[in-house]
Amino acid sequence: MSNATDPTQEAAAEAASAPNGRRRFLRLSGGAALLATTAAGCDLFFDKGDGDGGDGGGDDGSVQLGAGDIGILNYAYTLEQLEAAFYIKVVDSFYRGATDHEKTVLTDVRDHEIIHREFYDQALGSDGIPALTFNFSSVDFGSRESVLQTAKTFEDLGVAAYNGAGRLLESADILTIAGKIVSVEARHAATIRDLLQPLSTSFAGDDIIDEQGLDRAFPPATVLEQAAPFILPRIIADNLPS
Amino acid sequence: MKDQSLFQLFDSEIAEGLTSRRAALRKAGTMGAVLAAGALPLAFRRAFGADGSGSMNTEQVVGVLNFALTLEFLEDEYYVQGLETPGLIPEDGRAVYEQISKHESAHVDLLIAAIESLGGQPVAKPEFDFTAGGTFNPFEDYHVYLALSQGFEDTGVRAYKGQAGNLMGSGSILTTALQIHSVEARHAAQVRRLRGFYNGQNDPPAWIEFGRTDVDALKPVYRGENNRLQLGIRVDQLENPEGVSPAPITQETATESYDEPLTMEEVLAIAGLFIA
Repeated sequence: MSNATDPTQEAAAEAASAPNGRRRFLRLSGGAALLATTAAGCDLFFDKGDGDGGDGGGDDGSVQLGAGDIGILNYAYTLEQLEAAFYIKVVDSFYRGATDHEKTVLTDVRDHEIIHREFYDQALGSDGIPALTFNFSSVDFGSRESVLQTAKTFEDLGVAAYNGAGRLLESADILTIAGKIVSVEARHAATIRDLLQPLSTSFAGDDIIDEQGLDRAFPPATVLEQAAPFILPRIIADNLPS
Repeated sequence: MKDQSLFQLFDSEIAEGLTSRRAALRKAGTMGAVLAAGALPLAFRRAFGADGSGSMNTEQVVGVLNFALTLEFLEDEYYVQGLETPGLIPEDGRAVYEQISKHESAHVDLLIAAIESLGGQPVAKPEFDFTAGGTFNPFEDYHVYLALSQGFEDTGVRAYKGQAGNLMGSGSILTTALQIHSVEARHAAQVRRLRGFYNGQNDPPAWIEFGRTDVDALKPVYRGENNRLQLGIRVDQLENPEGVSPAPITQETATESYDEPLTMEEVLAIAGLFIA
Protein backbone atom coordinates (compact mmCIF):
# COMPACT_ATOMS: atom_id res chain seq x y z
CA MET A 1 0.00 0.00 0.00
CA SER A 2 1.27 3.44 -0.80
CA ASN A 3 0.54 6.85 0.72
CA ALA A 4 2.39 8.94 -1.81
CA THR A 5 1.98 12.68 -1.64
CA ASP A 6 1.95 12.85 -5.43
CA PRO A 7 -0.06 9.81 -6.30
CA THR A 8 -0.48 10.47 -9.99
CA GLN A 9 3.23 10.63 -10.70
CA GLU A 10 3.97 7.74 -8.46
CA ALA A 11 1.28 5.71 -10.12
CA ALA A 12 2.73 6.48 -13.53
CA ALA A 13 6.21 5.56 -12.37
CA GLU A 14 4.97 2.33 -10.88
CA ALA A 15 3.10 1.46 -14.00
CA ALA A 16 6.23 2.01 -16.05
CA SER A 17 8.40 -0.25 -13.99
CA ALA A 18 6.98 -2.01 -11.02
CA PRO A 19 9.41 -2.89 -8.24
CA ASN A 20 9.44 -6.52 -9.24
CA GLY A 21 10.44 -5.60 -12.77
CA ARG A 22 7.09 -6.42 -14.34
CA ARG A 23 4.85 -3.93 -16.00
CA ARG A 24 1.15 -3.72 -16.14
CA PHE A 25 -0.68 -1.51 -18.53
CA LEU A 26 -3.83 -1.21 -20.45
CA ARG A 27 -3.88 -0.22 -24.07
CA LEU A 28 -7.02 0.51 -25.97
CA SER A 29 -7.29 1.94 -29.41
CA GLY A 30 -10.33 1.61 -31.56
CA GLY A 31 -11.01 -2.07 -31.99
CA ALA A 32 -7.58 -3.21 -30.87
CA ALA A 33 -7.46 -6.04 -28.41
CA LEU A 34 -6.99 -5.24 -24.77
CA LEU A 35 -3.47 -5.92 -23.61
CA ALA A 36 -2.61 -6.49 -20.00
CA THR A 37 0.23 -8.34 -18.40
CA THR A 38 -0.09 -9.60 -14.89
CA ALA A 39 1.71 -8.04 -12.01
CA ALA A 40 1.69 -8.94 -8.38
CA GLY A 41 0.92 -6.61 -5.58
CA CYS A 42 -1.52 -3.85 -4.91
CA ASP A 43 0.90 -0.96 -5.56
CA LEU A 44 -1.77 1.34 -6.82
CA PHE A 45 -4.28 0.97 -4.04
CA PHE A 46 -4.67 4.07 -1.94
CA ASP A 47 -6.58 4.08 1.29
CA LYS A 48 -9.29 6.64 0.71
CA GLY A 49 -9.88 6.87 4.41
CA ASP A 50 -6.70 8.77 5.19
CA GLY A 51 -7.69 11.82 3.21
CA ASP A 52 -4.67 12.13 0.96
CA GLY A 53 -6.57 11.41 -2.24
CA GLY A 54 -5.56 8.54 -4.47
CA ASP A 55 -4.95 7.68 -8.05
CA GLY A 56 -7.75 9.48 -9.89
CA GLY A 57 -8.94 10.94 -6.60
CA GLY A 58 -9.80 14.52 -5.88
CA ASP A 59 -8.81 16.28 -2.65
CA ASP A 60 -12.35 15.87 -1.36
CA GLY A 61 -12.10 12.05 -1.60
CA SER A 62 -14.04 11.87 -4.83
CA VAL A 63 -13.14 9.28 -7.44
CA GLN A 64 -13.19 10.02 -11.17
CA LEU A 65 -14.13 7.02 -13.31
CA GLY A 66 -12.68 8.43 -16.50
CA ALA A 67 -13.85 8.36 -20.06
CA GLY A 68 -14.45 5.84 -22.82
CA ASP A 69 -14.09 2.13 -22.27
CA ILE A 70 -11.72 2.77 -19.35
CA GLY A 71 -14.48 4.74 -17.65
CA ILE A 72 -16.96 1.92 -18.16
CA LEU A 73 -14.48 -0.62 -16.83
CA ASN A 74 -13.90 1.54 -13.76
CA TYR A 75 -17.65 1.78 -13.36
CA ALA A 76 -17.91 -2.02 -13.41
CA TYR A 77 -14.90 -2.19 -11.09
CA THR A 78 -16.74 0.09 -8.64
CA LEU A 79 -19.68 -2.28 -8.48
CA GLU A 80 -17.54 -5.39 -8.17
CA GLN A 81 -15.59 -3.75 -5.34
CA LEU A 82 -18.89 -3.01 -3.61
CA GLU A 83 -20.17 -6.55 -4.00
CA ALA A 84 -16.88 -8.16 -3.00
CA ALA A 85 -16.66 -6.07 0.15
CA PHE A 86 -20.24 -6.92 1.04
CA TYR A 87 -19.94 -10.66 0.56
CA ILE A 88 -16.61 -10.80 2.37
CA LYS A 89 -18.40 -9.44 5.41
CA VAL A 90 -21.32 -11.84 4.91
CA VAL A 91 -19.08 -14.90 4.74
CA ASP A 92 -16.82 -13.70 7.52
CA SER A 93 -19.74 -13.98 9.91
CA PHE A 94 -22.82 -15.66 8.54
CA TYR A 95 -26.29 -14.56 9.61
CA ARG A 96 -28.12 -16.51 12.27
CA GLY A 97 -29.54 -19.79 11.00
CA ALA A 98 -27.55 -19.93 7.78
CA THR A 99 -27.83 -23.45 6.35
CA ASP A 100 -24.89 -25.31 4.83
CA HIS A 101 -26.41 -24.78 1.41
CA GLU A 102 -26.74 -21.04 1.96
CA LYS A 103 -23.16 -20.85 3.21
CA THR A 104 -21.94 -22.68 0.12
CA VAL A 105 -23.91 -20.42 -2.18
CA LEU A 106 -22.82 -17.18 -0.52
CA THR A 107 -19.19 -18.27 -0.39
CA ASP A 108 -19.31 -19.04 -4.11
CA VAL A 109 -20.84 -15.64 -4.84
CA ARG A 110 -18.21 -13.96 -2.71
CA ASP A 111 -15.47 -15.78 -4.60
CA HIS A 112 -16.87 -14.73 -7.98
CA GLU A 113 -17.10 -11.08 -6.97
CA ILE A 114 -13.56 -11.13 -5.63
CA ILE A 115 -12.32 -12.62 -8.89
CA HIS A 116 -14.19 -9.99 -10.88
CA ARG A 117 -12.73 -7.29 -8.69
CA GLU A 118 -9.15 -8.55 -8.93
CA PHE A 119 -9.57 -9.05 -12.67
CA TYR A 120 -10.57 -5.42 -13.18
CA ASP A 121 -7.69 -4.32 -11.00
CA GLN A 122 -5.26 -6.21 -13.22
CA ALA A 123 -6.91 -5.24 -16.49
CA LEU A 124 -7.04 -1.54 -15.63
CA GLY A 125 -3.63 -1.24 -14.09
CA SER A 126 -2.69 2.40 -13.56
CA ASP A 127 -5.96 3.46 -15.16
CA GLY A 128 -7.92 1.82 -12.38
CA ILE A 129 -9.67 3.68 -9.59
CA PRO A 130 -8.25 3.06 -6.13
CA ALA A 131 -9.68 0.74 -3.49
CA LEU A 132 -12.96 2.24 -2.34
CA THR A 133 -14.42 2.24 1.13
CA PHE A 134 -17.99 1.34 1.91
CA ASN A 135 -20.81 1.97 4.29
CA PHE A 136 -22.80 -1.12 5.26
CA SER A 137 -24.32 0.36 8.42
CA SER A 138 -27.81 -0.15 6.97
CA VAL A 139 -27.24 -3.90 6.83
CA ASP A 140 -27.83 -6.19 9.80
CA PHE A 141 -25.32 -8.93 9.01
CA GLY A 142 -26.89 -11.11 11.72
CA SER A 143 -30.22 -11.12 9.93
CA ARG A 144 -30.90 -13.48 7.02
CA GLU A 145 -33.57 -11.17 5.66
CA SER A 146 -31.37 -8.09 5.77
CA VAL A 147 -28.38 -9.81 4.20
CA LEU A 148 -30.29 -11.53 1.40
CA GLN A 149 -32.40 -8.48 0.57
CA THR A 150 -29.21 -6.41 0.28
CA ALA A 151 -27.60 -9.11 -1.84
CA LYS A 152 -30.66 -9.15 -4.09
CA THR A 153 -30.47 -5.38 -4.48
CA PHE A 154 -26.80 -5.50 -5.42
CA GLU A 155 -27.14 -8.37 -7.88
CA ASP A 156 -30.18 -6.95 -9.65
CA LEU A 157 -28.44 -3.57 -9.79
CA GLY A 158 -25.30 -5.14 -11.22
CA VAL A 159 -27.30 -6.85 -13.97
CA ALA A 160 -29.06 -3.59 -14.83
CA ALA A 161 -25.70 -1.81 -14.86
CA TYR A 162 -24.03 -4.21 -17.27
CA ASN A 163 -27.11 -4.34 -19.49
CA GLY A 164 -27.19 -0.55 -19.70
CA ALA A 165 -23.46 -0.20 -20.29
CA GLY A 166 -23.09 -2.62 -23.18
CA ARG A 167 -24.00 -0.17 -25.90
CA LEU A 168 -21.56 2.40 -24.49
CA LEU A 169 -18.51 0.25 -25.17
CA GLU A 170 -16.27 0.63 -28.20
CA SER A 171 -14.24 -2.54 -27.87
CA ALA A 172 -15.87 -5.82 -28.89
CA ASP A 173 -13.47 -7.70 -26.62
CA ILE A 174 -14.59 -5.70 -23.61
CA LEU A 175 -18.22 -6.14 -24.55
CA THR A 176 -17.65 -9.90 -24.63
CA ILE A 177 -16.01 -9.83 -21.21
CA ALA A 178 -18.88 -7.77 -19.82
CA GLY A 179 -21.27 -10.34 -21.26
CA LYS A 180 -19.38 -13.19 -19.61
CA ILE A 181 -19.58 -11.45 -16.26
CA VAL A 182 -23.21 -10.35 -16.42
CA SER A 183 -24.26 -13.94 -17.16
CA VAL A 184 -22.85 -14.85 -13.77
CA GLU A 185 -24.33 -11.81 -12.02
CA ALA A 186 -27.74 -12.79 -13.37
CA ARG A 187 -27.23 -16.32 -12.05
CA HIS A 188 -26.40 -14.76 -8.68
CA ALA A 189 -29.52 -12.62 -8.80
CA ALA A 190 -31.78 -15.57 -9.57
CA THR A 191 -30.17 -17.65 -6.83
CA ILE A 192 -30.47 -15.01 -4.12
CA ARG A 193 -34.09 -14.42 -5.05
CA ASP A 194 -34.72 -18.16 -4.91
CA LEU A 195 -33.17 -18.33 -1.44
CA LEU A 196 -35.62 -15.64 -0.36
CA GLN A 197 -38.66 -17.18 -2.07
CA PRO A 198 -37.87 -20.79 -2.96
CA LEU A 199 -39.50 -22.37 -6.02
CA SER A 200 -41.44 -19.20 -6.74
CA THR A 201 -41.37 -16.94 -9.78
CA SER A 202 -39.06 -14.55 -7.97
CA PHE A 203 -35.85 -15.76 -9.65
CA ALA A 204 -37.05 -13.78 -12.67
CA GLY A 205 -40.05 -12.13 -11.07
CA ASP A 206 -42.58 -9.75 -12.49
CA ASP A 207 -41.14 -7.10 -10.21
CA ILE A 208 -37.98 -7.10 -12.28
CA ILE A 209 -38.76 -8.64 -15.67
CA ASP A 210 -41.22 -6.72 -17.82
CA GLU A 211 -44.06 -7.99 -19.99
CA GLN A 212 -41.70 -8.32 -22.97
CA GLY A 213 -39.53 -10.67 -20.92
CA LEU A 214 -36.78 -8.06 -20.55
CA ASP A 215 -34.48 -7.51 -17.60
CA ARG A 216 -33.66 -3.95 -16.57
CA ALA A 217 -30.99 -1.86 -18.26
CA PHE A 218 -29.99 1.28 -16.37
CA PRO A 219 -27.75 4.16 -17.40
CA PRO A 220 -24.67 4.61 -15.18
CA ALA A 221 -26.12 7.66 -13.41
CA THR A 222 -29.10 5.65 -12.20
CA VAL A 223 -26.98 2.78 -10.97
CA LEU A 224 -24.53 5.02 -9.16
CA GLU A 225 -27.37 6.91 -7.55
CA GLN A 226 -28.74 3.66 -6.14
CA ALA A 227 -25.31 2.43 -5.07
CA ALA A 228 -24.28 5.77 -3.54
CA PRO A 229 -25.61 5.12 -0.02
CA PHE A 230 -23.15 2.23 0.26
CA ILE A 231 -20.08 3.90 -1.24
CA LEU A 232 -18.16 6.40 0.89
CA PRO A 233 -16.21 8.38 -1.72
CA ARG A 234 -18.20 10.33 -4.27
CA ILE A 235 -18.02 8.61 -7.66
CA ILE A 236 -17.67 11.07 -10.53
CA ALA A 237 -19.13 9.60 -13.69
CA ASP A 238 -19.60 12.68 -15.84
CA ASN A 239 -16.95 11.70 -18.36
CA LEU A 240 -18.51 8.33 -19.13
CA PRO A 241 -19.84 7.78 -22.62
CA SER A 242 -23.58 8.23 -23.04
CA MET B 1 -19.07 -12.42 -41.02
CA LYS B 2 -17.34 -15.61 -40.15
CA ASP B 3 -20.49 -17.70 -39.90
CA GLN B 4 -21.76 -16.47 -43.24
CA SER B 5 -22.53 -19.96 -44.50
CA LEU B 6 -25.04 -20.54 -41.72
CA PHE B 7 -27.18 -17.61 -42.76
CA GLN B 8 -28.60 -19.89 -45.38
CA LEU B 9 -30.76 -21.25 -42.60
CA PHE B 10 -32.46 -17.88 -42.44
CA ASP B 11 -33.07 -17.60 -46.13
CA SER B 12 -36.85 -17.25 -46.26
CA GLU B 13 -37.14 -19.96 -48.88
CA ILE B 14 -35.57 -22.48 -46.56
CA ALA B 15 -37.32 -21.22 -43.47
CA GLU B 16 -40.74 -21.67 -44.99
CA GLY B 17 -40.06 -25.20 -46.05
CA LEU B 18 -37.84 -26.33 -43.23
CA THR B 19 -38.49 -30.02 -43.09
CA SER B 20 -35.00 -31.33 -43.18
CA ARG B 21 -32.22 -29.89 -41.10
CA ARG B 22 -29.63 -31.63 -43.20
CA ALA B 23 -31.06 -30.33 -46.42
CA ALA B 24 -31.02 -26.84 -45.00
CA LEU B 25 -27.41 -27.10 -43.96
CA ARG B 26 -26.41 -28.42 -47.36
CA LYS B 27 -28.09 -25.75 -49.36
CA ALA B 28 -25.65 -23.44 -51.06
CA GLY B 29 -26.39 -19.91 -52.00
CA THR B 30 -26.38 -16.34 -50.90
CA MET B 31 -28.65 -14.71 -48.40
CA GLY B 32 -32.25 -14.17 -49.31
CA ALA B 33 -33.21 -10.96 -51.04
CA VAL B 34 -35.45 -10.03 -48.13
CA LEU B 35 -32.36 -9.44 -46.06
CA ALA B 36 -30.72 -7.15 -48.57
CA ALA B 37 -29.90 -4.05 -46.62
CA GLY B 38 -30.19 -1.84 -49.62
CA ALA B 39 -33.93 -2.43 -49.77
CA LEU B 40 -34.59 -1.15 -46.26
CA PRO B 41 -35.95 2.36 -45.81
CA LEU B 42 -34.02 4.38 -43.27
CA ALA B 43 -37.25 5.02 -41.41
CA PHE B 44 -37.43 1.36 -40.38
CA ARG B 45 -33.98 1.48 -38.86
CA ARG B 46 -34.68 4.65 -36.97
CA ALA B 47 -38.02 3.34 -35.75
CA PHE B 48 -36.27 0.59 -33.89
CA GLY B 49 -33.85 2.98 -32.32
CA ALA B 50 -30.72 2.11 -34.23
CA ASP B 51 -28.78 5.15 -33.18
CA GLY B 52 -26.39 5.22 -36.09
CA SER B 53 -23.48 5.90 -33.77
CA GLY B 54 -21.66 2.91 -35.18
CA SER B 55 -22.37 1.49 -38.58
CA MET B 56 -25.17 -0.99 -38.09
CA ASN B 57 -25.23 -3.64 -40.72
CA THR B 58 -28.96 -4.26 -40.84
CA GLU B 59 -28.58 -7.47 -42.79
CA GLN B 60 -26.26 -8.85 -40.14
CA VAL B 61 -28.49 -7.69 -37.32
CA VAL B 62 -31.57 -9.34 -38.82
CA GLY B 63 -29.55 -12.52 -39.17
CA VAL B 64 -28.60 -12.40 -35.51
CA LEU B 65 -32.17 -11.74 -34.45
CA ASN B 66 -33.43 -14.63 -36.55
CA PHE B 67 -30.84 -16.87 -34.96
CA ALA B 68 -32.10 -15.79 -31.53
CA LEU B 69 -35.68 -16.31 -32.69
CA THR B 70 -34.91 -19.89 -33.67
CA LEU B 71 -33.66 -20.61 -30.17
CA GLU B 72 -36.59 -18.85 -28.56
CA PHE B 73 -39.00 -20.87 -30.73
CA LEU B 74 -37.28 -24.02 -29.48
CA GLU B 75 -37.50 -23.06 -25.83
CA ASP B 76 -41.04 -21.74 -26.15
CA GLU B 77 -42.27 -24.95 -27.73
CA TYR B 78 -40.41 -27.12 -25.22
CA TYR B 79 -42.00 -25.39 -22.26
CA VAL B 80 -45.48 -25.28 -23.74
CA GLN B 81 -45.32 -28.99 -24.43
CA GLY B 82 -43.93 -29.77 -21.01
CA LEU B 83 -46.57 -27.75 -19.18
CA GLU B 84 -49.28 -29.40 -21.25
CA THR B 85 -48.05 -32.93 -20.55
CA PRO B 86 -50.22 -34.30 -17.74
CA GLY B 87 -48.31 -35.52 -14.72
CA LEU B 88 -44.90 -34.42 -15.98
CA ILE B 89 -44.06 -31.28 -14.03
CA PRO B 90 -44.74 -31.64 -10.31
CA GLU B 91 -46.80 -29.04 -8.54
CA ASP B 92 -43.83 -27.35 -6.91
CA GLY B 93 -42.05 -27.01 -10.25
CA ARG B 94 -44.94 -25.41 -12.11
CA ALA B 95 -44.50 -21.84 -10.95
CA VAL B 96 -40.92 -21.79 -12.21
CA TYR B 97 -41.70 -23.36 -15.58
CA GLU B 98 -44.78 -21.20 -16.09
CA GLN B 99 -42.65 -18.09 -15.53
CA ILE B 100 -39.94 -19.30 -17.88
CA SER B 101 -42.52 -20.23 -20.50
CA LYS B 102 -44.14 -16.81 -20.23
CA HIS B 103 -40.82 -15.15 -20.93
CA GLU B 104 -39.89 -17.33 -23.90
CA SER B 105 -43.22 -16.63 -25.49
CA ALA B 106 -42.69 -12.91 -24.95
CA HIS B 107 -39.20 -13.18 -26.46
CA VAL B 108 -40.61 -14.83 -29.57
CA ASP B 109 -43.10 -12.00 -30.03
CA LEU B 110 -40.46 -9.36 -29.34
CA LEU B 111 -37.93 -10.77 -31.80
CA ILE B 112 -40.54 -11.16 -34.56
CA ALA B 113 -41.56 -7.54 -34.09
CA ALA B 114 -37.95 -6.41 -34.08
CA ILE B 115 -37.10 -8.27 -37.27
CA GLU B 116 -40.18 -6.97 -39.04
CA SER B 117 -39.48 -3.41 -37.95
CA LEU B 118 -36.08 -3.71 -39.63
CA GLY B 119 -37.81 -4.82 -42.79
CA GLY B 120 -36.60 -8.37 -42.38
CA GLN B 121 -38.43 -11.67 -42.63
CA PRO B 122 -38.72 -13.69 -39.42
CA VAL B 123 -37.87 -17.36 -39.80
CA ALA B 124 -40.79 -19.71 -39.64
CA LYS B 125 -41.06 -21.81 -36.53
CA PRO B 126 -39.21 -25.07 -37.14
CA GLU B 127 -40.64 -28.51 -36.48
CA PHE B 128 -39.00 -29.78 -33.32
CA ASP B 129 -38.11 -33.24 -32.10
CA PHE B 130 -37.25 -33.01 -28.44
CA THR B 131 -36.32 -36.66 -28.33
CA ALA B 132 -33.43 -35.90 -30.67
CA GLY B 133 -34.21 -38.92 -32.75
CA GLY B 134 -35.06 -41.09 -29.78
CA THR B 135 -32.08 -40.21 -27.62
CA PHE B 136 -34.15 -38.54 -24.93
CA ASN B 137 -37.61 -38.98 -23.42
CA PRO B 138 -38.19 -35.60 -21.76
CA PHE B 139 -41.96 -35.78 -21.73
CA GLU B 140 -41.98 -39.11 -19.94
CA ASP B 141 -39.30 -38.52 -17.34
CA TYR B 142 -39.16 -35.29 -15.38
CA HIS B 143 -35.45 -35.73 -14.66
CA VAL B 144 -34.79 -35.81 -18.39
CA TYR B 145 -37.08 -32.83 -18.88
CA LEU B 146 -35.10 -30.92 -16.27
CA ALA B 147 -31.77 -31.90 -17.82
CA LEU B 148 -32.76 -30.79 -21.30
CA SER B 149 -34.20 -27.52 -20.06
CA GLN B 150 -30.88 -26.88 -18.35
CA GLY B 151 -29.11 -27.63 -21.60
CA PHE B 152 -31.35 -25.32 -23.60
CA GLU B 153 -31.09 -22.45 -21.16
CA ASP B 154 -27.31 -22.70 -20.75
CA THR B 155 -26.98 -22.91 -24.54
CA GLY B 156 -29.18 -19.87 -24.99
CA VAL B 157 -27.11 -17.83 -22.56
CA ARG B 158 -23.93 -18.77 -24.44
CA ALA B 159 -25.58 -18.08 -27.79
CA TYR B 160 -26.58 -14.53 -26.93
CA LYS B 161 -23.10 -13.79 -25.62
CA GLY B 162 -21.62 -15.07 -28.82
CA GLN B 163 -23.60 -12.57 -30.84
CA ALA B 164 -23.17 -9.44 -28.75
CA GLY B 165 -20.21 -8.30 -30.82
CA ASN B 166 -22.27 -8.61 -33.99
CA LEU B 167 -24.81 -6.19 -32.57
CA MET B 168 -22.36 -3.40 -31.77
CA GLY B 169 -23.45 -0.12 -33.24
CA SER B 170 -27.09 -1.17 -33.22
CA GLY B 171 -27.91 0.90 -30.13
CA SER B 172 -31.10 -0.24 -28.48
CA ILE B 173 -31.03 -3.58 -30.31
CA LEU B 174 -27.83 -4.54 -28.54
CA THR B 175 -29.36 -3.42 -25.25
CA THR B 176 -32.47 -5.49 -25.90
CA ALA B 177 -30.33 -8.54 -26.63
CA LEU B 178 -28.49 -8.02 -23.34
CA GLN B 179 -31.81 -7.65 -21.55
CA ILE B 180 -32.99 -10.97 -22.98
CA HIS B 181 -29.67 -12.63 -22.28
CA SER B 182 -29.72 -11.87 -18.55
CA VAL B 183 -33.24 -13.26 -18.26
CA GLU B 184 -32.07 -16.47 -19.92
CA ALA B 185 -29.21 -16.58 -17.41
CA ARG B 186 -31.75 -16.29 -14.58
CA HIS B 187 -33.69 -19.15 -16.16
CA ALA B 188 -30.55 -21.23 -16.46
CA ALA B 189 -29.63 -20.64 -12.84
CA GLN B 190 -33.09 -21.52 -11.62
CA VAL B 191 -33.41 -24.70 -13.68
CA ARG B 192 -30.06 -25.86 -12.36
CA ARG B 193 -31.24 -25.16 -8.83
CA LEU B 194 -34.45 -27.07 -9.56
CA ARG B 195 -32.42 -30.08 -10.63
CA GLY B 196 -30.36 -29.80 -7.47
CA PHE B 197 -33.52 -29.59 -5.40
CA TYR B 198 -35.13 -32.62 -7.03
CA ASN B 199 -32.08 -34.83 -6.84
CA GLY B 200 -31.55 -33.87 -3.23
CA GLN B 201 -27.92 -33.03 -3.88
CA ASN B 202 -28.08 -29.26 -4.40
CA ASP B 203 -26.06 -30.06 -7.48
CA PRO B 204 -25.54 -28.73 -10.10
CA PRO B 205 -25.04 -25.27 -8.67
CA ALA B 206 -26.60 -22.30 -10.44
CA TRP B 207 -23.23 -21.49 -12.08
CA ILE B 208 -21.13 -23.50 -14.48
CA GLU B 209 -18.00 -24.96 -12.91
CA PHE B 210 -15.23 -26.03 -15.28
CA GLY B 211 -17.03 -27.57 -18.26
CA ARG B 212 -18.65 -30.08 -16.02
CA THR B 213 -21.94 -31.70 -16.75
CA ASP B 214 -23.45 -34.78 -15.23
CA VAL B 215 -25.29 -35.52 -18.47
CA ASP B 216 -23.00 -36.99 -21.13
CA ALA B 217 -25.20 -35.97 -24.03
CA LEU B 218 -25.00 -32.33 -22.92
CA LYS B 219 -21.20 -32.16 -23.15
CA PRO B 220 -21.23 -29.94 -26.27
CA VAL B 221 -23.26 -27.39 -24.33
CA TYR B 222 -20.37 -26.89 -21.93
CA ARG B 223 -17.40 -27.13 -24.22
CA GLY B 224 -14.97 -24.31 -23.56
CA GLU B 225 -16.43 -23.37 -20.19
CA ASN B 226 -13.14 -24.43 -18.67
CA ASN B 227 -11.55 -21.24 -19.96
CA ARG B 228 -9.43 -19.30 -17.49
CA LEU B 229 -7.95 -16.70 -19.82
CA GLN B 230 -9.88 -13.45 -19.83
CA LEU B 231 -8.53 -10.51 -21.83
CA GLY B 232 -5.08 -11.99 -21.60
CA ILE B 233 -5.30 -12.42 -17.84
CA ARG B 234 -5.16 -15.85 -16.20
CA VAL B 235 -7.93 -15.34 -13.71
CA ASP B 236 -7.11 -18.57 -11.89
CA GLN B 237 -3.71 -17.06 -11.10
CA LEU B 238 -4.92 -13.78 -9.63
CA GLU B 239 -3.54 -13.24 -6.19
CA ASN B 240 -5.78 -14.21 -3.30
CA PRO B 241 -6.51 -11.19 -1.10
CA GLU B 242 -5.11 -11.36 2.39
CA GLY B 243 -7.31 -12.34 5.26
CA VAL B 244 -10.05 -13.93 3.18
CA SER B 245 -10.72 -17.57 3.85
CA PRO B 246 -11.26 -20.04 2.47
CA ALA B 247 -9.08 -18.77 -0.39
CA PRO B 248 -11.55 -17.43 -2.95
CA ILE B 249 -9.52 -17.77 -6.14
CA THR B 250 -9.31 -21.40 -7.24
CA GLN B 251 -9.44 -23.20 -10.57
CA GLU B 252 -13.09 -23.92 -9.88
CA THR B 253 -14.18 -20.43 -8.91
CA ALA B 254 -12.15 -18.93 -11.75
CA THR B 255 -14.13 -20.91 -14.31
CA GLU B 256 -17.42 -20.23 -12.52
CA SER B 257 -16.89 -16.48 -12.59
CA TYR B 258 -17.17 -16.21 -16.35
CA ASP B 259 -19.68 -17.82 -18.68
CA GLU B 260 -18.27 -18.40 -22.15
CA PRO B 261 -19.87 -17.56 -25.50
CA LEU B 262 -20.58 -20.06 -28.24
CA THR B 263 -20.43 -19.29 -31.94
CA MET B 264 -23.55 -19.46 -34.05
CA GLU B 265 -22.19 -22.58 -35.69
CA GLU B 266 -21.65 -24.32 -32.36
CA VAL B 267 -25.11 -23.39 -31.14
CA LEU B 268 -26.83 -24.55 -34.31
CA ALA B 269 -24.99 -27.87 -34.05
CA ILE B 270 -26.62 -28.34 -30.64
CA ALA B 271 -30.03 -26.93 -31.52
CA GLY B 272 -30.05 -28.83 -34.79
CA LEU B 273 -30.25 -32.09 -32.87
CA PHE B 274 -33.74 -31.06 -31.80
CA ILE B 275 -34.99 -29.79 -35.15
CA ALA B 276 -36.89 -32.47 -37.00
